[in-house]
Amino acid sequence: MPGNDRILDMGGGPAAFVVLTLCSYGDRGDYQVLPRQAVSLDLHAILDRLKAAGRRAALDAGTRLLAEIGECRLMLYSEGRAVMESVVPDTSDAAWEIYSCMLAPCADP
Amino acid sequence: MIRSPFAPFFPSLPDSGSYLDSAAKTLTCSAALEAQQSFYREFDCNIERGIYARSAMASDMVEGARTEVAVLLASSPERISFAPSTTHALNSIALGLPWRAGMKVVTTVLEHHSNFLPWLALRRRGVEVAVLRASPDGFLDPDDMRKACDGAFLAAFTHASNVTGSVQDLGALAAAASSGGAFVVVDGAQALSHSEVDISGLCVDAYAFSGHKCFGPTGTGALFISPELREALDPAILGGGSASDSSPEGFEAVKDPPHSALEPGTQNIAGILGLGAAAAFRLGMDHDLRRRHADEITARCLEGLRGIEGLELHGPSGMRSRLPVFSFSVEGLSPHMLAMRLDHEYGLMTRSGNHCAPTLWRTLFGRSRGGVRASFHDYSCMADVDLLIAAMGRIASDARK
Repeated sequence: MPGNDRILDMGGGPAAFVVLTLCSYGDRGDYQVLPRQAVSLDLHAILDRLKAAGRRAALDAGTRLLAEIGECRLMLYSEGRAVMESVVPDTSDAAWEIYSCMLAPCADP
Repeated sequence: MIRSPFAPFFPSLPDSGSYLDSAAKTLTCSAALEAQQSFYREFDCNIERGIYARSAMASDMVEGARTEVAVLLASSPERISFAPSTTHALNSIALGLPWRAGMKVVTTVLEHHSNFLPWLALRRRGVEVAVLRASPDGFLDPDDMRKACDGAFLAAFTHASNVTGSVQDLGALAAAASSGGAFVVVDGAQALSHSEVDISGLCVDAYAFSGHKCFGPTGTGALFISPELREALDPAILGGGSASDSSPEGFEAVKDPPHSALEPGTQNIAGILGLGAAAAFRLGMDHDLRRRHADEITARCLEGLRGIEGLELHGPSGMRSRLPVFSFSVEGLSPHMLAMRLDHEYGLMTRSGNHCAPTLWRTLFGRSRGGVRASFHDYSCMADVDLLIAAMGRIASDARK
């Protein structure tokens, strides 16, 4: 696998993702997360978990999850593709940490 | 679906979805692909100063490409030097001129970073850099340019905006800028992509463009340079081909042909041949058909986008002096999320953000995060326009709820 892949085990084995930098503003970063292979996310389950953690989140038309995690605003599709905006600090590691915590159980999504 | 009459010449035109990012990169024409492959299959050698026939033939082919590019600009081959991109070409000018503290450069709020940062960077050397404003729909005023260029050494501006698609009156602006003696440097990356450009008779000292915005390969471009500007330029990047002789005491810079010193080291030969083939392809196209096709796309897209409630179009609202390049935003929806929706849900490949022109976005439209740009080209078809309008209608409607 390419060296910049991010690996996440969501229970069904490891899945690879890439985090791509988007045009951003100031000291906040905007990123896109793309799965290498198709994944199928349960947006309702992720929504419930985010809400249980006190995050602002909603399903838009049943197909897009919109959420605010800290200063980051994101849009997630069930195929695993996401746009993440205002990631602080402006690093792909920070973006991945938010994304991976949202998908896989962690202490504070 | 009725395809563009030019579609058969672009093998990478997607079968599904719509490629609407031509302002970032045009699709590559078959002729450019074949020229590059042919070089590696049949010639595959270095050019210039090679005694063997293969090298001589490859050198001759590169000069043929130079001629095609010169014809594209209505210039002459000795005035054309190849460069890896518009960015590289413009930087080669900014880095090669004899700047002193107190000299003045004029650029504009419309510029892409490639024609903005190289000039701003001169402030570190004490050069005064004035930034000319533009009208709300993205046009420069020749009178403002004339006043701003009073006492200026150089003026650098774009022929057409990569954000608004507005096409400047190059003749009037160049005349105004040069009226006080300033060198005139023009970023032609967007304009030449779509339009016939004739720089003969204009007060233009440099005109730069990229191959990847003219159906050619990435890593290619060219720079027209006037004899006067070439004389003032002391090339910043030196190497093979830069000098006629050298010794520990120094070197004798090569002067003839004029482009030699601006093309140090081994060039992207295959890319240049691809660029030449793309230029030849462009020259052979039916220009009236191109213009009609672009006008039809522009008219339909303008009408459709203007009719969408909640969509703000950033740039000229009319047909006059514009390219089929459309930037827009929807209140309550960030540019990246809008572009993601267009791609993921509709297969529309657009570009979001500030398009390397944050000053333009902030100054003209008050938007720090930019917008979404849909850019069409000769291979685009009406179905692409209709899909964009339908998608934007639905998304803007969602955003109003």
